[in-house]
Amino acid sequence: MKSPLLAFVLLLILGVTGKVWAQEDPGRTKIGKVQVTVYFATNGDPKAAGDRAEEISAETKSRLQNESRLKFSHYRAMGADTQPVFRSYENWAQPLKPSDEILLRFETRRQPVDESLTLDLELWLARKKILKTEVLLKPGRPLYVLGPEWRGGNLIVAVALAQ
Amino acid sequence: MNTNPDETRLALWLDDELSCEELAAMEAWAADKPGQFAAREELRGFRKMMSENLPVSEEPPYPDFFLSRVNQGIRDLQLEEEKAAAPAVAAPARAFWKSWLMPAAACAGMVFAFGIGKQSRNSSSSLTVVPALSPVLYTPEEGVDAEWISSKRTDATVIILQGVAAIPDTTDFSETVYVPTASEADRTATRDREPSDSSQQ
Repeated sequence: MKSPLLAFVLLLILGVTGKVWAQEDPGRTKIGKVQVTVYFATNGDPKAAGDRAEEISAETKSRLQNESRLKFSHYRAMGADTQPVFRSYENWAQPLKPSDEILLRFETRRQPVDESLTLDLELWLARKKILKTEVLLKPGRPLYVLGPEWRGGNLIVAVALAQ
Repeated sequence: MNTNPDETRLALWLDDELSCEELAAMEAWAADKPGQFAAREELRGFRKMMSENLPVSEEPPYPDFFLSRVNQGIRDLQLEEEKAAAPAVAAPARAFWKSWLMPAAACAGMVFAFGIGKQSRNSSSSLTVVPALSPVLYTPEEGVDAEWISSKRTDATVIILQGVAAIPDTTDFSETVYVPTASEADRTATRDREPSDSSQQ
């Protein structure tokens, strides 16, 4: 009889302290979510991406092929990671877990307006900062970064707002 | 040896400002230059004419000046007394206006300023989302270049990295922990997003 009551009290204390902690640091407020997806794009054999890589939808394929610089015969989804955007802290996405070959650091310095977020982005490849930029992400309007070559194709890093 | 005088000494001699040895030296130099003596004589005549036609100094009309200042002071005092007497009659009306108009005007000004500030804050938020037409791309790695494209056909922002070292083919991503499902992988292609519940906090 005592142990359930004790557990309830402990949970209550933890909940209250957690809530107090969250209230104490408004900078950790989540103001959005970012999904980072890595595609393997190739004109060769898409099986080079491995058996676990998945085909992408016809809509995404058509969309990528509409841009001549991103036009390849085959695309495969290699991995994805969805991470929150904090009000005043940076965050990292690791789309190819557990590999840290591709990492994305992001933070916002402006209030989101109309579900749009302006992000400071850093793309890290092989633990080196390769690109730093600022991008406005709108719902349905992602950022595509044509990245390094790999196994006869290229990796494309897609950064988009997540629901 | 150059015995010609400089311009300063010549000007002093023409103005009769030299004396003793300097004057004797200049007289010796000009002895065979009748033109210089003629010039000095002309300047002497000019100075004489000026001294005869212009007084050395003109004394100010002290009595008139003193009386005019006294009269002006008297007039100023009279004007001040008249000004002091006039507001005493109109004072009640001005005090009445001041009693309620000035606080009301101050309140109206504060409300107006508050409204302007509120509107400017709302409008500034829309400015913050306007991105740079061509954002700054920084590529710290030597040999790496980036090209930014705003693709209308793809409805996306595209950055093309050039000069990036290829990932070795031996690198295996097959152990990727999370492979998105078809719907999740295609999330970046969603054009018509359903209205969110704004639960993004």
